[in-house]
This record gives sequence, structure tokens and C-alpha cells, in this order.
Amino acid sequence: MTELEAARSLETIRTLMERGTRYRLLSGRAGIAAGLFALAGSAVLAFPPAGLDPARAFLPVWAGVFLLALGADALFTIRMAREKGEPVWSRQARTVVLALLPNFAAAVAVTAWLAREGKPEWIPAAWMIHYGCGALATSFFAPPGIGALGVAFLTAGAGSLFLPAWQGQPAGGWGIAELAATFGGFHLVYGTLSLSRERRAEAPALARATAGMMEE
Amino acid sequence: MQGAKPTRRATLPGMVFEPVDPVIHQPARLSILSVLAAAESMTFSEVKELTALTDGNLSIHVRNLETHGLVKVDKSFVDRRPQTRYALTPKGRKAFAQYLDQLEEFLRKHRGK
Repeated sequence: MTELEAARSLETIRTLMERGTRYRLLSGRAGIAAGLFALAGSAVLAFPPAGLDPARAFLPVWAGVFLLALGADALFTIRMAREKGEPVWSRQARTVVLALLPNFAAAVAVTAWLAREGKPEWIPAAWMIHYGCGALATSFFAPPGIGALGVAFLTAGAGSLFLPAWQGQPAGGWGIAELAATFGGFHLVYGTLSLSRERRAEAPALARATAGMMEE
Repeated sequence: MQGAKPTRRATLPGMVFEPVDPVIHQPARLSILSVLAAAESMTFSEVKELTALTDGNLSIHVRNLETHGLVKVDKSFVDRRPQTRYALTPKGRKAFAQYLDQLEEFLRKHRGK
């Protein structure tokens, strides 16, 4: 092996090692569930039942959507970890959570400030931008597709800042439509694509594993 | 591994990398060890996806690595489904680290010559 080949070989080893550190327990089902919860939350605010003030209910409804999506993600992660025989709280899982935390904390702080200052119309854009940054921060250790999801959220969030504002009405007009399209639509697309990739990977692996067991 | 193809380029004496461990110094086996070095363990399908090796190639090279005590193979049932998991043995981890050190040392010595 010459110097040039040795350098290429080392580069390939590094790339493969990076791929090996990727978090592999993010299920497409969790993405679909998050999308459905976001659409349900948007529907409640867009077509509020009698007695519900959408402006007051905005933050509680989305907090509920967040908790339900988090719960679904935990559930599908535990299930996937069991199927793969892997620990749930692995080194890769800790890396992903640590990469997400700064943007999550920033989103909470900015939301609290916008709500206190009476500027809730900017909350959807702030959420999309922070979520996009969080997704991009994890994309180096997360399954393929997360990077694209991050770019989509970031672009939508940045674009949202230039849409006509609906002064003091986060729960009406563009705000809900944007949240439904991004947290609902983007997650559904991501989840569906991930799930189909998981199924494609599962089928031959199962056939091969079964054949291997039969040989023994 | 694409980069490990032999070339017709003339080399000066002492500028050719000659690894101590010839078992590791093989593109497919090096790919397997590289992905396993970054994780505690991996399933057959995960290693296959990351290394882009065929089923047959992966099985042959893993068997070779297992024979030399570099990789540990565990076959089990998870949720009633058969599963094959691979992990580096302590000997495999040490041999891989030594190989990397050797490669880096070679590049340090010969870079720019």
C-alpha cells in the first residue's frame, strides 16, 4: 500500500466508524405518530369546540401534542430496542439527546419571552427554526433523512418570518396552518419514508437469519 | 474498500505500508472492524448496510475474523425472531487500534515525500 492508498484507507475507516456511531433506534412509526398528533392539535385550534378559546388554549394544546409525541417516540424506541436486542439508553442515544438539548432549551426560553411580551404570533416560526436547528444538530449521529427534515423546518421557519403577521393571534390564520404543514405534514412524510426503508431492510435480514439458523 | 486498490505507481523502498497483521489488512475485513469498533455490537443487517457487503461476503469475512479471535458472533432469538449479532473481542479491538496506529505512523513518516 502506497502513501496515497494508505491515506484513502484511513479516510474510509474514519467514514465507516462515523456511520457506526449513528443512532439507529428512531422508528418511522414515531414520526407518523408525531405528525398525526400535530394535525389533531392543529384541528382542535382551527375548529375549536364550543367554550374553547384558541388563543388561551394554544400553548396547552401544543404542550399536549409535544408530550404525546414524546410518549409515542419513547414507546416505539423501546419496542425497536427490544427487537434489536439493544439498550435503550445507549451512548448514541445520549449523544442525540445532548445535541438536541440546547435548541430545546432555547425554544422554551424564546416561547416564554414571546408569550410574556405579547408577541405570540412569532411562536410558530421560533418553534420551526429551533426544531430545524435541533434536527440538524443530531443529523451527524441520527438516521438518514433527519438532516433533510432539519433543512425543511429551518426553511419553513425562516420563510414564516416574512409572511404577513397576524398580530396577537398565534392560534388563527397562518400560524396553525404552518404548524399543521410542518410538524404534521413534514413528520408524516419523514415517518412514512423511514418506515418503508425499515421494512425494506427487515425483509432480507429476516430471511437470511432464518436460513442461518436452519443450517445449524 | 475502494481506496485499497493496488496501483501501478512506482514506490521508493520503505514507502510501502506493510502491516503486522495481514488478517486485518483486507478491505472487506477492515470495513467490518471499522463499523464494529464504533459500537458495542451490531446485527448482521446493520453491518451489511454500513459496509455495503453482500450476505455471502460478509459471512465469509466474519467467519475469518471469528477464527482469528477478532470478532465474537452471537446467535439468538429476539421476540421469537432469529438474530445474529457481531462485536469486537478485546483482542480484535486491540489489533484494530494497533493497525490504525501503524497506518497513521506510516502516513506521518512519508507525508509529502
